[in-house]
Amino acid sequence: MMNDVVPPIEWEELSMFLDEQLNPKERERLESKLQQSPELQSALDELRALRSMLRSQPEIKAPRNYSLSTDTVGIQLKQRKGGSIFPALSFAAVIASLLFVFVFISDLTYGGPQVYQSTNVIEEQAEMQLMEKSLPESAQSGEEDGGIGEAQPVPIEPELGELEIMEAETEELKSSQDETRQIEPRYQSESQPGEAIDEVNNNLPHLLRYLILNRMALRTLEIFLVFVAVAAGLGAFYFYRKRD
Amino acid sequence: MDEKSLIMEAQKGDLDSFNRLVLAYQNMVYSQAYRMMGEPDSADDATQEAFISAFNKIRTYRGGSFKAWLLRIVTNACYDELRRRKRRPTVSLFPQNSQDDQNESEGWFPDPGEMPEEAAQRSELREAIESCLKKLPVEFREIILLVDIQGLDYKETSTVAGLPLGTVKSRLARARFRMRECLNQFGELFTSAHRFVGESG
Repeated sequence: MMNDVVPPIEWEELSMFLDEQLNPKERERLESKLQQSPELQSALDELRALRSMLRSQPEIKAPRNYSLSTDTVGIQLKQRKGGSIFPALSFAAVIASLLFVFVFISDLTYGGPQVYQSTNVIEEQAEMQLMEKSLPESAQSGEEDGGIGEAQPVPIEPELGELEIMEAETEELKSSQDETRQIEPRYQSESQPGEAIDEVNNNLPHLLRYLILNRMALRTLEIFLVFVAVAAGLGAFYFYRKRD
Repeated sequence: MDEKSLIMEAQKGDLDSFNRLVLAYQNMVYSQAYRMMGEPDSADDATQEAFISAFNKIRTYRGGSFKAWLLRIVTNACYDELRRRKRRPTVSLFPQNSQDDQNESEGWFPDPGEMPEEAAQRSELREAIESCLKKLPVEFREIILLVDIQGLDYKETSTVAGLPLGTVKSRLARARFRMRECLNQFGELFTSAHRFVGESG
Protein backbone atom coordinates (compact mmCIF):
# COMPACT_ATOMS: atom_id res chain seq x y z
CA MET A 1 0.00 0.00 0.00
CA MET A 2 1.10 3.53 -0.72
CA ASN A 3 2.01 5.67 2.20
CA ASP A 4 0.09 8.96 2.39
CA VAL A 5 1.28 10.16 5.80
CA VAL A 6 4.73 11.33 4.67
CA PRO A 7 4.75 15.09 4.13
CA PRO A 8 6.24 16.42 0.85
CA ILE A 9 9.28 17.90 2.62
CA GLU A 10 10.28 14.55 4.02
CA TRP A 11 9.54 12.98 0.66
CA GLU A 12 12.11 15.35 -0.84
CA GLU A 13 14.63 14.31 1.79
CA LEU A 14 13.88 10.68 1.05
CA SER A 15 14.37 11.29 -2.66
CA MET A 16 17.75 12.88 -2.04
CA PHE A 17 18.68 10.17 0.45
CA LEU A 18 17.95 7.54 -2.19
CA ASP A 19 20.24 9.29 -4.68
CA GLU A 20 22.91 9.86 -2.00
CA GLN A 21 22.58 13.64 -2.25
CA LEU A 22 22.30 14.38 1.48
CA ASN A 23 25.32 15.54 3.43
CA PRO A 24 26.53 13.22 6.25
CA LYS A 25 24.73 15.19 8.96
CA GLU A 26 21.37 15.18 7.12
CA ARG A 27 21.84 11.56 6.22
CA GLU A 28 22.48 10.56 9.84
CA ARG A 29 19.42 12.48 11.03
CA LEU A 30 17.18 10.86 8.41
CA GLU A 31 18.52 7.38 9.20
CA SER A 32 17.57 7.80 12.84
CA LYS A 33 14.11 9.01 11.76
CA LEU A 34 13.75 5.98 9.50
CA GLN A 35 14.50 3.65 12.42
CA GLN A 36 11.81 5.30 14.52
CA SER A 37 9.13 5.67 11.83
CA PRO A 38 7.86 2.59 9.96
CA GLU A 39 5.76 4.92 7.72
CA LEU A 40 8.85 6.74 6.60
CA GLN A 41 10.65 3.44 5.98
CA SER A 42 7.67 2.24 3.96
CA ALA A 43 7.71 5.45 1.91
CA LEU A 44 11.42 4.95 1.23
CA ASP A 45 10.74 1.40 0.01
CA GLU A 46 8.03 2.67 -2.30
CA LEU A 47 10.31 5.36 -3.63
CA ARG A 48 13.06 2.82 -4.24
CA ALA A 49 10.60 0.56 -6.07
CA LEU A 50 9.33 3.46 -8.17
CA ARG A 51 12.85 4.44 -9.16
CA SER A 52 13.73 0.87 -10.05
CA MET A 53 10.58 0.54 -12.14
CA LEU A 54 11.38 3.70 -14.04
CA ARG A 55 14.98 2.64 -14.56
CA SER A 56 13.86 -0.70 -15.92
CA GLN A 57 11.71 0.95 -18.59
CA PRO A 58 13.01 -0.15 -21.97
CA GLU A 59 13.89 2.18 -24.80
CA ILE A 60 11.21 2.74 -27.38
CA LYS A 61 12.20 1.58 -30.83
CA ALA A 62 12.52 4.45 -33.28
CA PRO A 63 9.81 4.15 -35.96
CA ARG A 64 12.28 4.89 -38.76
CA ASN A 65 15.89 5.55 -39.56
CA TYR A 66 16.89 9.11 -38.69
CA SER A 67 20.13 9.09 -40.70
CA LEU A 68 20.64 12.41 -42.42
CA SER A 69 21.08 12.86 -46.14
CA THR A 70 23.06 15.70 -47.70
CA ASP A 71 19.78 17.02 -49.11
CA THR A 72 18.13 17.12 -45.67
CA VAL A 73 21.10 18.88 -44.14
CA GLY A 74 21.24 21.33 -47.09
CA ILE A 75 17.52 22.17 -46.91
CA GLN A 76 17.63 22.56 -43.17
CA LEU A 77 20.69 24.77 -43.39
CA LYS A 78 18.83 27.04 -45.83
CA GLN A 79 15.81 27.19 -43.51
CA ARG A 80 18.08 27.78 -40.56
CA LYS A 81 19.74 30.65 -42.41
CA GLY A 82 16.33 32.31 -42.66
CA GLY A 83 15.75 31.57 -39.00
CA SER A 84 19.03 33.16 -37.98
CA ILE A 85 18.34 36.27 -40.07
CA PHE A 86 15.12 36.92 -38.18
CA PRO A 87 16.70 37.83 -34.81
CA ALA A 88 19.40 39.87 -36.57
CA LEU A 89 16.81 41.86 -38.51
CA SER A 90 14.55 42.44 -35.54
CA PHE A 91 17.59 43.55 -33.52
CA ALA A 92 18.62 45.96 -36.31
CA ALA A 93 15.07 47.36 -36.49
CA VAL A 94 14.97 47.98 -32.74
CA ILE A 95 18.44 49.55 -32.64
CA ALA A 96 17.72 51.79 -35.65
CA SER A 97 14.44 52.94 -34.10
CA LEU A 98 16.11 53.71 -30.77
CA LEU A 99 18.94 55.59 -32.47
CA PHE A 100 16.44 57.60 -34.51
CA VAL A 101 14.49 58.54 -31.40
CA PHE A 102 17.71 59.49 -29.61
CA VAL A 103 19.01 61.62 -32.48
CA PHE A 104 15.62 63.22 -33.02
CA ILE A 105 15.21 64.12 -29.34
CA SER A 106 18.78 65.43 -29.19
CA ASP A 107 18.04 67.53 -32.27
CA LEU A 108 14.91 68.96 -30.65
CA THR A 109 16.64 69.56 -27.30
CA TYR A 110 20.00 70.98 -28.36
CA GLY A 111 19.48 71.87 -32.01
CA GLY A 112 16.84 74.15 -33.49
CA PRO A 113 17.07 77.53 -35.23
CA GLN A 114 19.11 79.15 -32.40
CA VAL A 115 22.09 76.87 -32.95
CA TYR A 116 21.90 77.12 -36.72
CA GLN A 117 21.68 80.92 -36.54
CA SER A 118 24.62 80.89 -34.18
CA THR A 119 26.72 78.84 -36.55
CA ASN A 120 25.89 81.25 -39.37
CA VAL A 121 26.85 84.23 -37.22
CA ILE A 122 30.15 82.63 -36.28
CA GLU A 123 30.92 81.83 -39.91
CA GLU A 124 30.13 85.41 -40.90
CA GLN A 125 32.35 86.76 -38.12
CA ALA A 126 35.19 84.51 -39.25
CA GLU A 127 34.83 85.73 -42.84
CA MET A 128 34.86 89.35 -41.69
CA GLN A 129 38.02 88.79 -39.67
CA LEU A 130 39.71 87.24 -42.68
CA MET A 131 38.73 90.20 -44.83
CA GLU A 132 40.00 92.67 -42.24
CA LYS A 133 43.34 90.90 -42.06
CA SER A 134 43.72 90.83 -45.82
CA LEU A 135 43.03 94.57 -46.27
CA PRO A 136 46.11 96.10 -44.54
CA GLU A 137 48.37 93.53 -46.20
CA SER A 138 47.25 94.61 -49.65
CA ALA A 139 47.65 98.23 -48.64
CA GLN A 140 51.18 97.54 -47.38
CA SER A 141 52.15 95.67 -50.52
CA GLY A 142 50.97 98.67 -52.53
CA GLU A 143 53.37 101.01 -50.62
CA GLU A 144 56.28 98.61 -51.13
CA ASP A 145 55.69 98.68 -54.88
CA GLY A 146 56.77 102.34 -54.83
CA GLY A 147 53.39 104.03 -54.68
CA ILE A 148 52.37 102.86 -58.14
CA GLY A 149 49.40 100.98 -56.70
CA GLU A 150 45.92 102.24 -56.07
CA ALA A 151 45.53 105.66 -54.54
CA GLN A 152 44.71 105.80 -50.84
CA PRO A 153 41.11 106.89 -50.22
CA VAL A 154 40.96 110.40 -48.94
CA PRO A 155 38.84 110.62 -45.77
CA ILE A 156 36.00 113.03 -46.15
CA GLU A 157 35.74 115.13 -43.07
CA PRO A 158 32.14 115.71 -42.08
CA GLU A 159 31.01 119.08 -41.14
CA LEU A 160 30.81 119.90 -37.45
CA GLY A 161 26.96 119.93 -37.25
CA GLU A 162 26.61 116.51 -38.91
CA LEU A 163 29.20 115.00 -36.58
CA GLU A 164 27.33 116.14 -33.50
CA ILE A 165 24.07 114.68 -34.77
CA MET A 166 25.74 111.32 -35.49
CA GLU A 167 27.29 111.18 -32.02
CA ALA A 168 23.93 111.95 -30.43
CA GLU A 169 22.26 109.17 -32.45
CA THR A 170 24.95 106.69 -31.44
CA GLU A 171 24.51 107.57 -27.76
CA GLU A 172 20.75 107.13 -28.07
CA LEU A 173 21.14 103.74 -29.75
CA LYS A 174 23.56 102.54 -27.04
CA SER A 175 21.23 103.56 -24.23
CA SER A 176 18.24 101.83 -25.87
CA GLN A 177 20.34 98.61 -26.21
CA ASP A 178 21.22 98.78 -22.50
CA GLU A 179 17.53 99.08 -21.63
CA THR A 180 16.69 96.06 -23.77
CA ARG A 181 19.37 94.05 -21.97
CA GLN A 182 17.92 94.93 -18.61
CA ILE A 183 14.32 94.18 -19.58
CA GLU A 184 14.97 90.95 -21.50
CA PRO A 185 18.16 89.40 -20.20
CA ARG A 186 17.01 85.85 -21.14
CA TYR A 187 16.40 86.83 -24.74
CA GLN A 188 19.76 88.54 -24.87
CA SER A 189 21.62 85.57 -23.43
CA GLU A 190 19.92 83.16 -25.85
CA SER A 191 20.74 85.38 -28.77
CA GLN A 192 24.46 85.25 -27.96
CA PRO A 193 25.88 82.98 -30.64
CA GLY A 194 28.69 81.59 -28.47
CA GLU A 195 26.47 80.43 -25.61
CA ALA A 196 24.20 78.19 -27.68
CA ILE A 197 27.25 76.59 -29.26
CA ASP A 198 28.85 76.15 -25.83
CA GLU A 199 25.74 74.36 -24.59
CA VAL A 200 25.96 71.91 -27.48
CA ASN A 201 29.72 71.50 -26.97
CA ASN A 202 29.41 70.82 -23.25
CA ASN A 203 26.48 68.42 -23.27
CA LEU A 204 26.92 66.19 -26.29
CA PRO A 205 29.46 63.66 -27.52
CA HIS A 206 31.72 64.72 -30.36
CA LEU A 207 29.90 62.91 -33.20
CA LEU A 208 26.47 64.08 -32.12
CA ARG A 209 27.83 67.60 -31.65
CA TYR A 210 29.02 67.55 -35.24
CA LEU A 211 25.65 66.29 -36.41
CA ILE A 212 23.69 68.89 -34.45
CA LEU A 213 25.81 71.67 -35.92
CA ASN A 214 25.64 70.20 -39.40
CA ARG A 215 22.01 70.25 -40.38
CA MET A 216 22.41 68.40 -43.68
CA ALA A 217 24.27 65.46 -42.11
CA LEU A 218 21.68 65.25 -39.35
CA ARG A 219 18.75 65.10 -41.73
CA THR A 220 20.56 62.44 -43.82
CA LEU A 221 21.20 60.34 -40.72
CA GLU A 222 17.58 60.62 -39.59
CA ILE A 223 16.29 59.55 -42.99
CA PHE A 224 18.81 56.67 -43.08
CA LEU A 225 17.76 55.44 -39.63
CA VAL A 226 14.08 55.55 -40.52
CA PHE A 227 14.83 53.63 -43.71
CA VAL A 228 16.86 50.95 -41.85
CA ALA A 229 14.20 50.59 -39.14
CA VAL A 230 11.38 50.13 -41.65
CA ALA A 231 13.33 47.83 -43.98
CA ALA A 232 14.67 45.64 -41.14
CA GLY A 233 11.23 45.51 -39.52
CA LEU A 234 9.59 44.37 -42.75
CA GLY A 235 12.37 41.84 -43.33
CA ALA A 236 12.00 40.46 -39.80
CA PHE A 237 8.25 40.16 -40.26
CA TYR A 238 8.76 38.32 -43.57
CA PHE A 239 11.21 35.79 -42.04
CA TYR A 240 9.01 35.36 -38.97
CA ARG A 241 6.09 34.36 -41.18
CA LYS A 242 8.32 32.16 -43.32
CA ARG A 243 9.84 30.41 -40.28
CA ASP A 244 6.47 29.10 -39.13
CA MET B 1 35.61 2.91 -35.31
CA ASP B 2 34.85 3.92 -31.72
CA GLU B 3 32.50 6.71 -30.64
CA LYS B 4 35.25 9.25 -30.08
CA SER B 5 36.67 8.78 -33.57
CA LEU B 6 33.19 8.98 -35.10
CA ILE B 7 32.57 12.25 -33.26
CA MET B 8 35.89 13.66 -34.45
CA GLU B 9 35.14 12.70 -38.05
CA ALA B 10 31.63 14.16 -37.76
CA GLN B 11 33.15 17.38 -36.43
CA LYS B 12 35.14 17.58 -39.65
CA GLY B 13 31.84 17.44 -41.54
CA ASP B 14 31.74 13.70 -42.35
CA LEU B 15 28.04 12.89 -42.62
CA ASP B 16 28.60 9.11 -42.76
CA SER B 17 30.35 9.11 -39.39
CA PHE B 18 27.57 11.22 -37.95
CA ASN B 19 24.97 8.83 -39.33
CA ARG B 20 26.67 5.95 -37.53
CA LEU B 21 26.22 7.91 -34.31
CA VAL B 22 22.58 8.47 -35.29
CA LEU B 23 22.06 4.72 -35.64
CA ALA B 24 23.63 4.13 -32.24
CA TYR B 25 21.54 6.74 -30.44
CA GLN B 26 18.27 7.05 -32.37
CA ASN B 27 16.28 4.77 -30.04
CA MET B 28 17.47 6.65 -26.99
CA VAL B 29 16.72 10.03 -28.59
CA TYR B 30 13.33 8.93 -29.87
CA SER B 31 12.41 7.44 -26.46
CA GLN B 32 13.21 10.72 -24.75
CA ALA B 33 11.26 12.70 -27.36
CA TYR B 34 8.30 10.33 -27.22
CA ARG B 35 8.07 10.50 -23.45
CA MET B 36 8.50 14.26 -23.43
CA MET B 37 5.92 14.90 -26.14
CA GLY B 38 3.52 12.11 -25.28
CA GLU B 39 2.62 11.24 -28.87
CA PRO B 40 4.49 9.78 -31.86
CA ASP B 41 4.12 12.49 -34.52
CA SER B 42 5.59 15.25 -32.37
CA ALA B 43 8.27 12.85 -31.12
CA ASP B 44 9.20 12.04 -34.73
CA ASP B 45 9.50 15.73 -35.62
CA ALA B 46 11.50 16.51 -32.49
CA THR B 47 13.87 13.58 -33.10
CA GLN B 48 14.49 14.61 -36.69
CA GLU B 49 15.04 18.21 -35.63
CA ALA B 50 17.35 17.11 -32.83
CA PHE B 51 19.64 15.13 -35.13
CA ILE B 52 19.84 17.94 -37.67
CA SER B 53 20.58 20.36 -34.88
CA ALA B 54 23.19 17.98 -33.46
CA PHE B 55 24.93 17.76 -36.84
CA ASN B 56 25.00 21.53 -37.16
CA LYS B 57 26.28 22.00 -33.62
CA ILE B 58 28.65 19.06 -33.36
CA ARG B 59 31.68 21.35 -33.61
CA THR B 60 30.61 22.89 -30.31
CA TYR B 61 30.81 19.50 -28.55
CA ARG B 62 33.79 19.67 -26.19
CA GLY B 63 33.99 16.17 -24.78
CA GLY B 64 32.15 14.70 -21.80
CA SER B 65 29.11 12.49 -22.10
CA PHE B 66 27.91 12.45 -25.70
CA LYS B 67 24.62 10.96 -24.51
CA ALA B 68 24.06 13.93 -22.16
CA TRP B 69 24.96 16.33 -24.97
CA LEU B 70 22.42 14.67 -27.28
CA LEU B 71 19.80 14.65 -24.53
CA ARG B 72 20.23 18.37 -24.10
CA ILE B 73 19.64 18.89 -27.81
CA VAL B 74 16.61 16.63 -27.98
CA THR B 75 15.13 18.24 -24.86
CA ASN B 76 15.49 21.67 -26.44
CA ALA B 77 13.99 20.35 -29.67
CA CYS B 78 11.02 19.03 -27.68
CA TYR B 79 10.46 22.39 -26.03
CA ASP B 80 10.63 24.09 -29.45
CA GLU B 81 8.14 21.57 -30.82
CA LEU B 82 5.83 22.08 -27.84
CA ARG B 83 5.93 25.85 -28.35
CA ARG B 84 5.27 25.42 -32.07
CA ARG B 85 2.33 23.11 -31.40
CA LYS B 86 0.97 25.54 -28.83
CA ARG B 87 1.09 28.36 -31.39
CA ARG B 88 -0.42 26.22 -34.13
CA PRO B 89 -2.35 23.35 -32.58
CA THR B 90 -2.88 20.40 -34.90
CA VAL B 91 -6.05 18.33 -34.93
CA SER B 92 -5.60 14.60 -35.41
CA LEU B 93 -7.50 13.03 -38.30
CA PHE B 94 -8.10 9.93 -36.19
CA PRO B 95 -10.07 9.77 -32.96
CA GLN B 96 -7.87 9.34 -29.89
CA ASN B 97 -8.92 6.66 -27.46
CA SER B 98 -7.42 3.85 -25.43
CA GLN B 99 -7.05 1.75 -28.60
CA ASP B 100 -4.52 4.27 -29.93
CA ASP B 101 -2.38 3.85 -26.86
CA GLN B 102 -2.15 0.14 -27.55
CA ASN B 103 -1.00 0.81 -31.10
CA GLU B 104 1.61 3.27 -29.89
CA SER B 105 3.22 0.65 -27.69
CA GLU B 106 4.16 -1.53 -30.67
CA GLY B 107 7.61 -0.06 -30.63
CA TRP B 108 8.60 -1.63 -27.31
CA PHE B 109 11.53 -3.97 -27.41
CA PRO B 110 10.30 -7.47 -26.48
CA ASP B 111 11.93 -9.14 -23.50
CA PRO B 112 13.13 -12.55 -24.73
CA GLY B 113 12.29 -15.56 -22.55
CA GLU B 114 9.43 -13.81 -20.77
CA MET B 115 6.30 -15.79 -19.83
CA PRO B 116 3.09 -14.55 -21.54
CA GLU B 117 1.40 -13.70 -18.22
CA GLU B 118 4.44 -11.85 -16.98
CA ALA B 119 4.77 -10.06 -20.30
CA ALA B 120 1.15 -8.96 -20.11
CA GLN B 121 1.56 -7.62 -16.61
CA ARG B 122 4.80 -5.91 -17.46
CA SER B 123 3.18 -4.35 -20.49
CA GLU B 124 0.31 -3.17 -18.31
CA LEU B 125 2.75 -1.62 -15.88
CA ARG B 126 4.63 0.08 -18.72
CA GLU B 127 1.40 1.61 -19.96
CA ALA B 128 0.53 2.76 -16.44
CA ILE B 129 3.94 4.43 -16.14
CA GLU B 130 3.64 6.05 -19.56
CA SER B 131 0.17 7.28 -18.69
CA CYS B 132 1.38 8.77 -15.41
CA LEU B 133 4.38 10.37 -17.11
CA LYS B 134 2.04 12.08 -19.59
CA LYS B 135 0.08 13.56 -16.69
CA LEU B 136 3.15 15.23 -15.19
CA PRO B 137 3.83 18.88 -15.98
CA VAL B 138 6.50 19.00 -18.68
CA GLU B 139 9.15 20.60 -16.44
CA PHE B 140 8.79 17.74 -13.91
CA ARG B 141 8.58 15.14 -16.65
CA GLU B 142 11.83 16.36 -18.15
CA ILE B 143 13.73 15.90 -14.89
CA ILE B 144 12.34 12.49 -13.95
CA LEU B 145 13.05 11.24 -17.48
CA LEU B 146 16.63 12.42 -17.36
CA VAL B 147 17.40 11.03 -13.89
CA ASP B 148 15.26 7.93 -13.50
CA ILE B 149 14.89 6.72 -17.07
CA GLN B 150 18.04 7.97 -18.81
CA GLY B 151 20.12 7.44 -15.68
CA LEU B 152 21.91 10.79 -15.61
CA ASP B 153 23.27 12.04 -12.31
CA TYR B 154 22.08 15.32 -10.75
CA LYS B 155 24.97 17.36 -12.13
CA GLU B 156 24.51 16.09 -15.67
CA THR B 157 20.78 16.70 -15.39
CA SER B 158 21.43 20.21 -14.19
CA THR B 159 23.62 20.85 -17.25
CA VAL B 160 21.20 19.22 -19.70
CA ALA B 161 18.15 21.03 -18.33
CA GLY B 162 20.03 24.28 -17.76
CA LEU B 163 18.75 24.49 -14.20
CA PRO B 164 20.42 24.96 -10.81
CA LEU B 165 21.17 21.78 -8.87
CA GLY B 166 18.67 22.71 -6.14
CA THR B 167 15.86 23.07 -8.68
CA VAL B 168 16.72 19.67 -10.14
CA LYS B 169 16.54 18.07 -6.68
CA SER B 170 13.22 19.61 -5.74
CA ARG B 171 11.62 19.00 -9.15
CA LEU B 172 12.75 15.40 -9.10
CA ALA B 173 11.31 14.82 -5.63
CA ARG B 174 8.00 16.40 -6.62
CA ALA B 175 7.89 14.44 -9.87
CA ARG B 176 8.47 11.20 -7.98
CA PHE B 177 5.81 12.17 -5.45
CA ARG B 178 3.27 12.79 -8.22
CA MET B 179 4.24 9.58 -10.00
CA ARG B 180 3.62 7.67 -6.80
CA GLU B 181 0.24 9.35 -6.37
CA CYS B 182 -0.70 8.52 -9.94
CA LEU B 183 0.47 4.91 -9.80
CA ASN B 184 -1.46 4.56 -6.57
CA GLN B 185 -4.60 4.70 -8.69
CA PHE B 186 -3.54 1.46 -10.37
CA GLY B 187 -3.63 -0.30 -6.96
CA GLU B 188 -2.44 -3.88 -7.18
CA LEU B 189 -0.37 -3.22 -10.25
CA PHE B 190 2.12 -1.11 -8.33
CA THR B 191 2.29 -3.60 -5.45
CA SER B 192 2.97 -6.51 -7.76
CA ALA B 193 5.51 -4.41 -9.61
CA HIS B 194 7.78 -4.67 -6.55
CA ARG B 195 8.11 -8.36 -7.36
CA PHE B 196 9.21 -7.66 -10.96
CA VAL B 197 11.66 -5.09 -9.78
CA GLY B 198 13.01 -7.48 -7.17
CA GLU B 199 13.41 -10.23 -9.73
CA SER B 200 15.06 -8.08 -12.37
CA GLY B 201 17.39 -6.63 -9.77
